[in-house]
Parts: sequence; C-alpha cells; structure tokens
Amino acid sequence: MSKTLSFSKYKIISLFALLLGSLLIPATSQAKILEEKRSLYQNVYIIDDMGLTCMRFRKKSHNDLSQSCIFNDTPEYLVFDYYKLAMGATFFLEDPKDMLIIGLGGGVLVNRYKEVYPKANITSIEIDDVVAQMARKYFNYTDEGEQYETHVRDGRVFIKRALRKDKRYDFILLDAFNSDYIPEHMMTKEYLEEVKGLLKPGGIIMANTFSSSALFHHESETYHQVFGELYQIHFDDEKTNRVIVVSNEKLPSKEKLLKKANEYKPLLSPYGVDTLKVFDAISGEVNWDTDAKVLTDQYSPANLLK
Amino acid sequence: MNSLVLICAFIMGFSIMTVELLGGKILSPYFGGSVYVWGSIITIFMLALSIGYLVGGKLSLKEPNTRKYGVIFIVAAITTLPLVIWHAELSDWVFMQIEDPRYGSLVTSLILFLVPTTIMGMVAPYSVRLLVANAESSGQTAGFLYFVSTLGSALGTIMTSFYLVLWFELDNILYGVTVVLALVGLVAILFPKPLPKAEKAELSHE
Repeated sequence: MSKTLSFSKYKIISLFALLLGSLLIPATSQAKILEEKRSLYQNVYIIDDMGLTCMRFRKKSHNDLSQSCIFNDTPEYLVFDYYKLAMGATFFLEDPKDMLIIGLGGGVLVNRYKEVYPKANITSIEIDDVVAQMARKYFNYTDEGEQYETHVRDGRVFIKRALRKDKRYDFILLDAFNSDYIPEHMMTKEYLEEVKGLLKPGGIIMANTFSSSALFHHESETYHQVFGELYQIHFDDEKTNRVIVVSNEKLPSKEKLLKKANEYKPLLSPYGVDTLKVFDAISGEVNWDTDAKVLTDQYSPANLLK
Repeated sequence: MNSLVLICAFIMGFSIMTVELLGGKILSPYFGGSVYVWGSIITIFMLALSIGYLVGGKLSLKEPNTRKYGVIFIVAAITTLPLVIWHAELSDWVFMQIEDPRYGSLVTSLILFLVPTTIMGMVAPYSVRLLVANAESSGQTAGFLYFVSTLGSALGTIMTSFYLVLWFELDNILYGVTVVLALVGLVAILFPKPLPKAEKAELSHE
C-alpha cells in the first residue's frame, strides 16, 4: 500500500532545511541504502533518507513506494497518514485482550499498539521472512514476551487454521497489501467471512486499503456485503489510502467515537496523531458504486482492476 | 496435413494452460499464493503430462484413427468435471489433513489435476501419429505439431491471466474448457479423417 508523507510543522521546517541542503549536495548522496536483501517475494531495501529509515521493495526512491518508515530521531512519531488513520482503532476498542495483525511490515503499528494496550496479546503475521527480520533489525520490532507472537506465513492460511483452532480476537488489522501487488485471495468475500468468524462478539476489523481506482468500488461493496455498515477513515488531502472499519455487531455511534477521540487525544499526541482530525475523517457514507461486482474466490482479479 | 488434428492440438494446448493457471486461484485460499504452491501445481502438471505422453504414444500403436482421438478429448472433458465441481471441498479436506502448505498444495494438486492432465497429455503423441506420413518427414511433422500446440498454450496462458479471469468466474472458465474439449472430441468422432498413409497410397495409384 502506498503511503503519502505527512509531517507536523516542525518536521516540515526541518525537512525544508534538509531539502535546501540537498540542493547543494549531489543528488546521489541523499539516500543511503543501509541493507538490501532478496527474499522469496521481493527485494527488500532499507534506506536512510532525509532523517527517515524506510523499508522499500524497489530501489528507485519515490516516497510513495515506501512500505514502512520511521523518523530516526523520534521513532514513535508516526510518518504516514495511514498510520494515523490506523491509530483511530483506539476509538472503537474497549481494552482489547487479543489483537491480530495481518501484514506486519516494519512493525511500526504493532509497536504503537503495544504501547497503547500494554496488556493485550498481539499476534502478527508476515508472509515475508526477510521483512520480519528487517522489522526487528531496523524498526525496533520485538515479539519478546509471552504476549507477543510472530508467524511467518500466508495471512489467509493463518486465518483458516486459527478458525479451526477456535481462536478469537477483539481486533484484527488487515494490512497485507502493497502498492505493487495485492494478494488476490485476501480481498474476497470468502476471506472476509473467515476473518469475521475470528472476531469475538463486538470485535473490530480494520483494513488498510485503496481509496482510488476501480478496485475501490469492488472492494467497498465486498465489505458491504459481508458486514453491512462500515466506516471509512480518509483524510481529504490524501489520495491513495483509506481505512475501513467493520464489526460483527453494530458499530459504535459517532457520539461514542467522539468521546473516545477526546479521551485518547493526550495519549496519542506524542505519536503525531490529532485524534480530532482522525475523528473528522470518519465517514459512514456510502460513497461507492453499490452495483460493483463483489470480489469472491470465483472472481478476484484485484490486480487487474487496480 | 490434417488441419482437424492441428486445430485439436492447438485447443488442447490452450486448455492445459488455462487449467494450470486457474490451479493457482483454486489453491490460494487454502495454501496461499507462494512459490511452493506454484511449484506443486507445475510439478503435478509436468508429471501428468509425462505420463500422458507415454500412454498416448502406446495407445497410438493400435489402429490409430481420429475417432479414438476424439474419445481422448471426451474423456479429458469428463475427468475435468470433478475438478470443477469439487475443487473447494477437496482442497478443504486436504487442508484439514495436512498442516504444511507445501505438502497440502502438492497433495491437492495431485488429487485435482493428475488424472485430467494425464489424459490431456495423451493428445500430443497421438496427434503426431495421426499426422506423420513417412519416416523422413516425421521430425518436421512433430516439430510443426509442437509449434501449433505450444502456441495454443501461450495463447491460453495470456488469455486466461489477462482477460478470462476479468471477464468470467473461475468455475465458468473451467466449465468452458470442458465444453470446448467435449465439442472438439465430438467433431473428431463425427467427422473422421483418414490417416496420411492412406492419402499417400491413393496418390501413388494415380
């Protein structure tokens, strides 16, 4: 999933200084590749660029190709808008005990969830072993402690097994897509029904997905068919990302969410999250074409619809 | 050269790759979309085709004709049907039995694809037998047949992965394959063509 950079004022000023500096220095000296490693799925690059450490799957430097990024000096301060949207999960959750993350990536979000919910058990799934290694090495991810687990395997295979083992979760984050390729078997009605089956009563699923292209309509309608009502969280000035929030029971009202947003404001501000801005970005509106064909295991050309 | 046989071989080449590519879509909900899932599918297809070549070649020894050739297509269509109807149930059953997705996908591929693909593989050597007129030109004939059937495979691959999955549902594409194979088989049975040897004999009489 592509992510657009968003900074607070002081970050912008420091960036400006860096940009100004970079005009004087040859372009090649800007970004430094700290490590590159070929995995079973892709080339994984760790890049140090303008005060950020980023994980990318392409060598060429475009901001929107970064998978995970942290600020070197303030790693807790969230870089991407999408991370901030995903912290909106806190408005929907009441002291979650069991959390499941499909798509660990750099582990940036898991690290924040660990801090916000120190008592929660968090299970993270990542298909790419190299990505999980890099998360530990460069993004301070750790699963030390009984509460935490990391599994290197396909998200859907994990979910099917977890269903059989009667595992249930209060919160599930679906974050397995990147901008280049969507695992098509993880964007279907059947998949979402399996994920729904893993929720405890009143549990919450949050999905980091696309807000542009034809896929937007197909995907939204697929969620709509499986869950009924859904919230979308999407900043107006942001082009590519949105977050979908669904549940197996009725979703909390806006009033309740606003109360939570106020409650979490001081807690989340060190992460650069303005909870009221995130609250304003929540919409229950049906803004997609409800006639769009639902994606199923029978019909899932997600990458062709992108 | 017998154009019926060439068209049949082209369609079979197309069908084999359509089924193989959709194999990935069939297995991914249960075993993921990783390289070992493709490894399983390709392994079983290669194994099945190799057996098919062997059996098809043997079969071509006994009074070869286009009627029998058509029967191979009909049998291929019939053996593809269980795959279309029960792939979800069978994949799920194997998923329950085998935890490791590598062996899970291998066993599922074996159950789903071994028999129909073996039958499909029988077409290539049988086509060679129906086309070859004499020993001198046999290499050229076989070469041309491979050219036509592999071209069919190439087209089947690109059509399936670029367009068919966008236009149709998975099972409908597979049903399409079985219908086409059955039709091709019927045509071969109903409109038999003589062997090239006979044609050659007629020519020498004139």
